[in-house]
Amino acid sequence: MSEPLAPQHGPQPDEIAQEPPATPAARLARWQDAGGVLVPVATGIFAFLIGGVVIAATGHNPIQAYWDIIKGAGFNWLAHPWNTDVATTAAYNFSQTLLQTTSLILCGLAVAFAFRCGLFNIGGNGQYLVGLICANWIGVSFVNMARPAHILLGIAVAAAAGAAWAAIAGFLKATVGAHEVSTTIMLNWIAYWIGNYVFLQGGPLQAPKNVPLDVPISADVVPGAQLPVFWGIPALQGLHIGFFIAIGALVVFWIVLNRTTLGYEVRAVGYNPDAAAYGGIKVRTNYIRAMAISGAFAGLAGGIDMLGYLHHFGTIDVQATSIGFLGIAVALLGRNTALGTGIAALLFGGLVYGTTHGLQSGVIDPSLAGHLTEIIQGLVVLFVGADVLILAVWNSRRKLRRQGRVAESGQPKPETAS
Amino acid sequence: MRVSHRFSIFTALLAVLVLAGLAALVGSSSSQASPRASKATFLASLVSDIGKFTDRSFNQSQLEGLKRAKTKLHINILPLQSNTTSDYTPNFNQAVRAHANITIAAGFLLADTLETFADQFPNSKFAITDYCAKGSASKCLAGNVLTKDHPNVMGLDYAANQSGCLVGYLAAEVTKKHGGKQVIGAVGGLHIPPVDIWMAGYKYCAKLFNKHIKVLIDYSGDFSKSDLCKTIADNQIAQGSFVEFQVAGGCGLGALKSADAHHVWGIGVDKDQSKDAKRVLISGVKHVDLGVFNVIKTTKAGKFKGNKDLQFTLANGGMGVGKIHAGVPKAFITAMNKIKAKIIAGKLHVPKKLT
Repeated sequence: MSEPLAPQHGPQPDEIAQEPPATPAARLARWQDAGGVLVPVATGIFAFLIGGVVIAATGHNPIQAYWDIIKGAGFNWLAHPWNTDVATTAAYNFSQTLLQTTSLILCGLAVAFAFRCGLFNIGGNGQYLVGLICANWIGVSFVNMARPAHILLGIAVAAAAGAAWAAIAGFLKATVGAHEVSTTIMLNWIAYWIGNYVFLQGGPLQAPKNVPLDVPISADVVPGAQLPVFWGIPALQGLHIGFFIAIGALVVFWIVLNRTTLGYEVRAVGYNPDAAAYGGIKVRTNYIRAMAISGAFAGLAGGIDMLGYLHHFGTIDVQATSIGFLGIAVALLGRNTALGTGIAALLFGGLVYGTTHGLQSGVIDPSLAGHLTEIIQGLVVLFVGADVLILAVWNSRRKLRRQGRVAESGQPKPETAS
Repeated sequence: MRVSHRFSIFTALLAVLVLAGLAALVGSSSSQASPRASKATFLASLVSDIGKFTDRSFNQSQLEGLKRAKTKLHINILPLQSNTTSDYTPNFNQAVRAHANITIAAGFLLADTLETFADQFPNSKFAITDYCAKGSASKCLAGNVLTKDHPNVMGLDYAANQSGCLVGYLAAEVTKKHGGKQVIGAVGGLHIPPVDIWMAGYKYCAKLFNKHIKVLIDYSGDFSKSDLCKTIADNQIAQGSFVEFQVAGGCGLGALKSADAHHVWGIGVDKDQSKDAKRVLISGVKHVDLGVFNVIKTTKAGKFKGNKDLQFTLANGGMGVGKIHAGVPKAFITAMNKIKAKIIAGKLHVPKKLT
């Protein structure tokens, strides 16, 4: 510490990265960086191969099953994209895949942004829920507001709510050092039970018409707060303009991370908080800020889902919500980059929608189809996560070899390998 | 680093494009064959709620009814499972686009989506479990009525309070014989009509045949996490409850396990659950499979009547009870059957709302 302070332009993140990163999330991110794009592609293919073996073991043709999944996701629409009539199955399915992709992009960004700051945000689901609940609240109140203002208010409040929710975890990390993994998981449960409460019989968001019926479901967002649908029929869950908001969020994510001081600080803290602090960056502020921005993405996802196609929500829907968790897989597969997250979200959107709707038929037993869906999704998530493990093994082998060479040449063994 | 990053992104993009292109190529060759929905045979579709077809009760029973229709009525079937809320609309869409002759909504949670589709596709026929058509609201047994008149929707209406009454009687009688604290309990999933109608019958008849009995009613707030229901049942048993009635689907299996552990009695719901725990006194059975089967049969025979209901009661075998535990005295069973006869004859009216 007696050395002169850092050079004027500050240390480059790549130089900082030569030090062993401090947080597990940062280590994970570095391993992933090292793997490039080959490892995720290879593990993805491997997951599908194993999934194929599972399908074959149940006595079905895996190639046919995968073809059904591709058709179920509507990717065959790309063969004749001029036919946008949603009465055709391909066009409808593809519009639905993009609907899933929309939420997955934002939930993926929520995880990816925190990751770049060395934080593991497991709380996407809770942040999504608070965003969704707030959007429902705004959407059913302020009935006489002008449409653009009402939509903007709903989206802004949802994003702010998600940001505030995640910032709690960031704040706890910055002040008392509570690990963000445990706090975000706890916040997930708090959001879950708040969601249970607000829509429950007598809850503040239960629709007045549902009170005498004992139905724990909210009122519908008024038409003036619903996002315009640009592809499909609004009543049949058409694709809404939230899709473009998600694409816009990808661009914002990239610009903020790569072209602003804020993003530079976030990445510096992510690479090595000690070095960043040495370089004059306020690590604690960055933890809170990165978590808040993360939460804003997830809250935005909840907001546009509510205003875009869900329109109402119920206690049982809260219990079945898991899209925020899928965001973790999307971010991991997408290597926490903007473009990678976008591509991974499309892949997962297709996988989620395609397996559910492509495998269902009178031929495959529906309960089997449901389980196959989960197995294939699970395998992809497992292998995407496992590539980190493979890299870790690979790296430690290299490390051992290097240490062996050093020992052979008669030099003293270094305490820590670089 | 920077260069390799950019390179890797391009590779990823390329991979996706190649995949998409491949998909497109194969797609163009086979998509022409899509409108082969054979209109010659009858197609029946069933859309599950997010309990899924693997819930060991409500949705699964209906799937069994659909499968029975396939073998007995020689029809094609299209069961569609909803894994999330956002699957409801696509599933109905899939059924309608496949020209299903009848599409059945597996319950309560699907009512909104069903009404939307009934409006959008007036030429398709629909039915919904646990709901009454508006046209027969005055005769509705269970209490839930659709918001609008739909000439293409039939309701499937179950008098679960009648079966609830029978199991409630048996619970009260067993508790009286055992002596001690006169308390029984019920664990519900959510405070919603299809749950409460069971409890209404249970409570009413328990009190009718054992004036001093106290009926504890609690809700887990959940239909799948069995540990939550186990905790609630544990609490009720600690308050002296001798019989635990579960009305919480998969969650409620925890209540049956709790009854086993404390050596008291459990009562199953929807399906015969005598095999799901050791000490299952009896189960209140709602033959939702029969409802699915019957509405398909009715539609196939050309007797579909929109804006009307099919009703299921003890009288027509739509409601019933499951296997009675061997430890129950014969006299109780005889008395229970007398009560059943009374309900069928209309001499005993069981309320459908919890009071």
